Amino acid sequence: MTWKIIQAIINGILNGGVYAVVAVGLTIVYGVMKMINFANGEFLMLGMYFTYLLYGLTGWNCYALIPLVVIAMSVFGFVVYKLVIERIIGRDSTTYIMVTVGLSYFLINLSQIIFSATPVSVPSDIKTSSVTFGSYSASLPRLIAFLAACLLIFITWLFMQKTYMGRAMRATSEKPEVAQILGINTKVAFTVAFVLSVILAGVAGLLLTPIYTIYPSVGSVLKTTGLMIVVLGGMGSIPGALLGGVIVGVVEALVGTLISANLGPAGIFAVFLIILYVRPQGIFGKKGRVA
Amino acid sequence: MKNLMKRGIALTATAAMVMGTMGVTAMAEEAETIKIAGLFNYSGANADTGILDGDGAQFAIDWINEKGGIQSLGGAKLEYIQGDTLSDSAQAKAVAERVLSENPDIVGAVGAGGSGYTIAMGSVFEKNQIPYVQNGVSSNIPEQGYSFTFQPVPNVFGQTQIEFIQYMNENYDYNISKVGIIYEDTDYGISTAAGNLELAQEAGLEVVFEESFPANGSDVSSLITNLKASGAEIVLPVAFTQDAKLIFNTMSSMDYHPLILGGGAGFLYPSFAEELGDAVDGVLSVASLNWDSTSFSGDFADVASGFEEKYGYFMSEHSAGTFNHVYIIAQALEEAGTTDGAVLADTIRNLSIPTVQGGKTGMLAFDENGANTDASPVIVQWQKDDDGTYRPHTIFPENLAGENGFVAVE
Repeated sequence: MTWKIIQAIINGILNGGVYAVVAVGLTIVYGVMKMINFANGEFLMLGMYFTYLLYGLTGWNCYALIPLVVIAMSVFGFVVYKLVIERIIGRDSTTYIMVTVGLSYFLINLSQIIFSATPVSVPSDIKTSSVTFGSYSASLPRLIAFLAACLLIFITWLFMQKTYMGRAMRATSEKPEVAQILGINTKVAFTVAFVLSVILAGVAGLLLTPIYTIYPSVGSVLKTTGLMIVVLGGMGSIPGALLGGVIVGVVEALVGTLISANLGPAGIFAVFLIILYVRPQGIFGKKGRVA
Repeated sequence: MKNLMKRGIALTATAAMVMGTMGVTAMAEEAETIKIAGLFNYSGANADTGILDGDGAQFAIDWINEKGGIQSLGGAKLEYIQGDTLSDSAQAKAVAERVLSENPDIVGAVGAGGSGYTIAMGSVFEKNQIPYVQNGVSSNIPEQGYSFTFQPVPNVFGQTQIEFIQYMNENYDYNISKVGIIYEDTDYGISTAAGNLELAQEAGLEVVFEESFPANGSDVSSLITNLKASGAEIVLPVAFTQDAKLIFNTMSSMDYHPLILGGGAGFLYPSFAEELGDAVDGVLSVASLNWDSTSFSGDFADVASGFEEKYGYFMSEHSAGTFNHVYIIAQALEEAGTTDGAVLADTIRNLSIPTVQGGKTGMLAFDENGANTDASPVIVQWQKDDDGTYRPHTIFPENLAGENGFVAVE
């Protein structure tokens, strides 16, 4: 039993990292733009496909492709922002939901037309590799994804806290009108926030290529979990995304291992409800201040 | 008066000729194409299955048309009408209704890439009196009591899987006694696993672990942790593509390497081998039918090779099954000489012909609930062929096994 519990916690923490990196992009967009992005899973999917295409062109290890994927996702995110998102800035949340849900379906169908529905994968030598310590093991791709997630989240947090643009984004998140009066270009802040979230989703997709196969609707696998983590950690809170991800991962693994694999998602929802009952604003959520 | 009579006769004759010509034209038009619907998951999480299914159906239609179409209907050609069940059994029924309402001249249908979809859609075909020959393997399908739904594929897999474990124990000294059963929480998974559990226990094997998991989930590490702790020596997993790959990779990354005897579906797709690479070598699975079994001989000798040549991948279980189901409808059309749904359904029920399905005798034999009582599954093993491609080869039972034999694996 002890072995099972410890192994479940290891599995849960590693999965939590994967969940967190998916959630952090969502939380930035919400924090700055007050927009719930239902197309985030599809940006993740596109990150996976970009990795697949770039692997085909270069033959490089998927992790070496991070800079190229960041560039590709930046361009893609900027185009999507200009064509779609910019036009709805300032509208109500229903508009955001309708547009991003529509964007989500559009990207899934577009991917199916371009890549077909047949799953593809990026060859990797470490797909089935693990790090073992005693009788315990940690899947190497998940361990790398977890460590990369922690690093990405730290860099993003530093960016938000220590740079002028980060502070501008945080100011914009509080009161866009006041930020504008203070000389902050809120349009740029919105653009950077959205593109940053697309980049993070794309890199999350890249980190997942050794774990999952790639197909047009793969983003939906993690979509609900990502949204739940954002709410759990506190909407707009970057450390909250990491902690929320780990909590969700560990609860899911413990319930799945000790009770039933089928009840793992139910366990997440139970903890989700309990935490929101105690702290409706989420673990790190604050009234009126986000990001 | 005479003139009037003459005019009347002339008019009547002209009218009769015109109507006759119209009738002949209508018959000729009717003979030109016969629509067969294919309702599969062309999008969504199981869209890869839909592609395999759809390619099998389209290949069958082309294969039959190239051989002259339906002779008893004036060489009528078959036409494929595609419907997308969206990988969502909740929407499958509405999709079937829409396809039939848009194409009221559909005379038969094949589907659906999964038992849950078939159960959802069965009532639509029943109401419209259209024969529906489908590839869902759940034993719940014939129990629905539909008279227009047919299941040419086997609906009991456990017997063959357990017999194969015993075969390995007796002939290759495997000494397997501990079995683990994991399955997706769908009708297909639940019914297949229930059969496995009962038959394994009857055979004296110890089922040390048995649990379901959410289909298309993000992680199976909890499941594999428990499975590893149970000490199962052989695992009978039932899963579609994504979960099959996730299960296999998670087992490997947790340094757990039991024998795997897959429950078909995701363990049989070309993409499974692409994902696993050389690790797929020797992996076992049960299958409804397989491209190199002895049933692919005689009239069907060119089917598997023709399919692979056309589509660039081997004819998987789903493609072969769907090919067979279109073929069955075509044979019924040939025999009945009509497109009437009720007559066609009766004809299908009474068909006794060899098909690629194979089985105990190899002759199709539907019971009153539409289940093929002759069907029996096969065990396949992924082996590398001379062209460097991994394909599943039929190794068991003896009467259906292809040329390649079982290669013992550790």
